[in-house]
Amino acid sequence: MSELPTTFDEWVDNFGEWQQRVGFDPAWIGDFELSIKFDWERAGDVIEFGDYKGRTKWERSLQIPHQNIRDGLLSMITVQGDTEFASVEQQKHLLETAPSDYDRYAAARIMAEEQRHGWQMCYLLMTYFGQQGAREAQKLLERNAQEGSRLLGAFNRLMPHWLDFFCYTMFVDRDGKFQLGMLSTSGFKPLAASMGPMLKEESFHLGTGANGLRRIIKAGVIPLDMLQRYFNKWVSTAHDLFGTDTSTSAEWAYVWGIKGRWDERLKLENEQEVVKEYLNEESRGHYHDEIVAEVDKMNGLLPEGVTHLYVVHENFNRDIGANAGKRFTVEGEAFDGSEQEWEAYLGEFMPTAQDEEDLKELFEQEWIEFRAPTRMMIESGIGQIKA
Amino acid sequence: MIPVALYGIDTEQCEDFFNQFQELLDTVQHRYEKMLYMIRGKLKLEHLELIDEWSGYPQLVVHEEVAQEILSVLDIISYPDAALIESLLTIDGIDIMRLSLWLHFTTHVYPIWSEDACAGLQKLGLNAPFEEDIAAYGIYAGLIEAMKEYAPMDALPESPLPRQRLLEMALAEWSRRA
Repeated sequence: MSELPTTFDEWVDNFGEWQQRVGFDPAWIGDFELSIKFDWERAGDVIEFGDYKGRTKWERSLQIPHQNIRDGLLSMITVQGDTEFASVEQQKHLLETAPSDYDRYAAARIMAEEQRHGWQMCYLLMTYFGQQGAREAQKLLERNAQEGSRLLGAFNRLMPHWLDFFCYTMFVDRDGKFQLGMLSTSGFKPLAASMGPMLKEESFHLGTGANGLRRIIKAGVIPLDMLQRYFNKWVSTAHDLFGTDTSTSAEWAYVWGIKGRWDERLKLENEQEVVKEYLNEESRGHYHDEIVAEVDKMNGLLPEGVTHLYVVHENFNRDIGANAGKRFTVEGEAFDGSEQEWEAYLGEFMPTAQDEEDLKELFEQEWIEFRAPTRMMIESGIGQIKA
Repeated sequence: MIPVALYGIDTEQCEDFFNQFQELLDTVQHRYEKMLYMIRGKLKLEHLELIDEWSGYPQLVVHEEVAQEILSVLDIISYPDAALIESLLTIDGIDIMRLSLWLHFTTHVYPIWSEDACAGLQKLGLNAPFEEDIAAYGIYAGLIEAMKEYAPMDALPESPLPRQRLLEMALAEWSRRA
């Protein structure tokens, strides 16, 4: 590990070295400003749930009553930051193969915003968590998705092409939206106040994914069964991101008031009872319902009579939780067949080597509805696109 | 924090507005969305004609030099500045509405000038005059930008449309509601 930064400015210098190391040209972010943003007004003044409900939100780590709460926060902020830098490492090579300048701009802006989110998390670590925070902030720049050393499996996956990118921004970034939403009511005020600006930026990422997939469907070049397989890959990955079932860490985070449920404020207003043992399942359920609705909207673009796209059941292809490594069909039923039959089944419902080969040819065609960049996009310098 | 441009806003009304935001919208706007992506490459007079056709304006009949002036202004204007387009208002057949449509479809960030959306802003306690005055349009564009910034993180729906458009439509619908 490099020498630990002692100030945020020192960390920023190390961040510049990280950009260089992973091959991200700082010029790609154009006029985008890497900065720290807070929405203090909507962060709330009073702890909203858990055992400390009603007390003043903590504004400094020394106000946090127990070391294990500080550790829990440190861990959550670290994981969030880790995903931000990881996604840049996963995606940056895609700039070279963007289907249009419009898409190159969108990907570069997403990567700029992910880096800002990483800055935000590191700012919290450096400002509020002393030497331990500095160590974690530094480690965020040292783990690497390409080497498979990022903290969450989904963020070590390769993203070889733009179909993966659009599925990723549609399904995996949406998990990010839920995680940020659940942290937005945190009892640690600087964390809660960080979430509003991050969530607003995250919506552009989801929009890029959803619109990209809509444009792919409209172009009609990628076969729908193939598209479905890529949906299945990234949806099941995203299901994993909500964590283990009956998670005690999620339960503790709720008890301590540092991470709430999705739509916590609305649920509190409606006096909706909290089932602390199933917090991850609950948020995964909300996520699942949301993507079902989004995919249904996409089906509206399909011609009549064709098989509709769908969202796989939460049991399918899981690496985390009670069903990790178990065999379930896309409908969620236990799979009864032999090893050979299972392999054949996966070949039908998950991307195959043949799909990857076929995609090379399909990408040579007009596989996605064209979009030209606007003048504002060009002028921003983001992605360094030219008129 | 309330953006400076929104000082004086009725915060309770504003909260109600954002709570109802998604109900206020008619999100299916295929014709609009199609128009949004029809402007490609360097700005040309044909692009403005497409926008005019979309919005029902009669064909603009101007001398070549005037056309060039229009294109130059639209090309160099930089969001959120609006003052630069004032000089174009002296040309026959050009009004703020038409200019706002050109700006909107060529940049995706300037809002379309709308009497109802101004009324929606007024209902929120803001000073948003709907007058044939470039300063009024500048105020309107600034207020929409500030509303975008002030919107709670979960208020605006996932939509392929620019947020300026979503706000403009929702504000217009808001003004029509009792």
